[in-house]
Amino acid sequence: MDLSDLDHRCGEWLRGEGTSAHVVISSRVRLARNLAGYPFATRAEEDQRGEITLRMREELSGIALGPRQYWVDLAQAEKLETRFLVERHLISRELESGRGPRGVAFGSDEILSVMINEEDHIRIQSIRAGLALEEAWQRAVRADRALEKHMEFAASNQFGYLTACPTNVGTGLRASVMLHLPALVHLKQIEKVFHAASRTGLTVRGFYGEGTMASGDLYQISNQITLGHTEEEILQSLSTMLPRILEYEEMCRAELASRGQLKLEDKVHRALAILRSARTLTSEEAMQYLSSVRLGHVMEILKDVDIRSLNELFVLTQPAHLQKLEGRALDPDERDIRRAAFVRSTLV
Amino acid sequence: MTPMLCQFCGKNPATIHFTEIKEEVKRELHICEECANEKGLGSTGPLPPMLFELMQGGRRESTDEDLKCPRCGITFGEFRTKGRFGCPHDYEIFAEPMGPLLEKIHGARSHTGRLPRGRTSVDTAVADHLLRLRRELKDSVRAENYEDAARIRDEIKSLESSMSESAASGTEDA
Repeated sequence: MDLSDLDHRCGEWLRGEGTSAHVVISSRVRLARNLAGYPFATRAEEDQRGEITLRMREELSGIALGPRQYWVDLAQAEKLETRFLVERHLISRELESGRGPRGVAFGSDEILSVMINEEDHIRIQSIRAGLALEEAWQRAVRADRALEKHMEFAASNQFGYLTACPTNVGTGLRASVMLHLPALVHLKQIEKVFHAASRTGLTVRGFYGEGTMASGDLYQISNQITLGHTEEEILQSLSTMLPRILEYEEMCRAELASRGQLKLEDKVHRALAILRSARTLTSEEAMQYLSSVRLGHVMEILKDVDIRSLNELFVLTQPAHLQKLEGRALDPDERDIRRAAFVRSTLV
Repeated sequence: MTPMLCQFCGKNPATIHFTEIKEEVKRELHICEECANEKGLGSTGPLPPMLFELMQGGRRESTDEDLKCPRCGITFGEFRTKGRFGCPHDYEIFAEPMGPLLEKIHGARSHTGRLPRGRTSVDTAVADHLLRLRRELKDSVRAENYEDAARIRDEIKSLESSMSESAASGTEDA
């Protein structure tokens, strides 16, 4: 599968528009499903996993996931290509590092993707820009229903949709929002958000999900509970909590400005100046300065920065993206040089 | 129909019924309310496995850890170590011992959300049969019993096609 036409742009979800886009980058819904009559992917034999992959590839070709559709056979794909898909949030790190027959289908607008033979046989994912959980949910559930017409999912009356891990059983639904929280981080209030979230059955993760560090002040907040609540209740629990986090971040942004507008402006302008001039940039530096520039943009300190380009840089400056753009493997030093050049050319 | 009598006192009709499945062996326990209360086993009492312990005079032959799924072969102990189930049937086999775990994770033990195709009930008999056949297929291939394997393969195929037909005819919800 040729993914080269994806090199220079990103999915629709990074466009930087939508409700509460000053804080909410994107909304995501994931549904875990398993085929009835098979062991779970983690326990299935290689040939059973092969059967499932083949069948799902065929079924998915009959469902419109986007304007155009891609299928990537992950057992055959190059390491750089699978890394690229992880960086774009199209597949999970678990699917990348998995073994044997597995794959992913996704639409060219990157709103919908369906992973095959991750921990569960099927994982449907839908991502939308801004605060749009309902939209993301509707897209995911449409794909779910389309698949349901052709296959039987493992389910029981008592436990709902059955999953390999008991943390997903019931609805199989994980809803999350990606938030940019630079002011809460700067004023060291972010821990309070973590505590408040966990008290309401939500959990906080980094930019690349479970077990990843928060980078660029980007955090994902998602539901922890999947059993005993309806899908609507789960989405509602996130929607109820979110305005409070948003308000808190807004309050901290105002606090930052009132403490010293000049200092804030200095920080933002310096970050932009570095991104526009640096000859080498590590991934961590890039994320940090991009975060400051993004803050400057939404606080209207910077007027001439395009929010979409800025959002996309969070993904396009990741290692596999730089290497794909260059068309070859790069060592870390080379990557830092390429990263700086790419950022300079984008933020002219 | 004569009512079932309590297995403790043998006098009163049994109104509380427990079922335990261990190593594919199903054991049942039927007791009356009076005996249940007397032994502190009312509705708020300890978990049913302890009842069986009580029946065996405080000794248990096997623990939950050894409970094994006949379909995928995983034991409850293995599940606890790995944190992953082997197949959908595990939810039935381990329903009892995993209750406290679900409670801990979700604060609940049963599902209230949607079911496939808006159904209000799920019949897992066919799916379960398929799981068993796939297990048998694996075993016969391993034992190089290819005649059996071919027969089982055919059976799987016909069962599968009846399954996708029934999926296609499922009621659609808006």
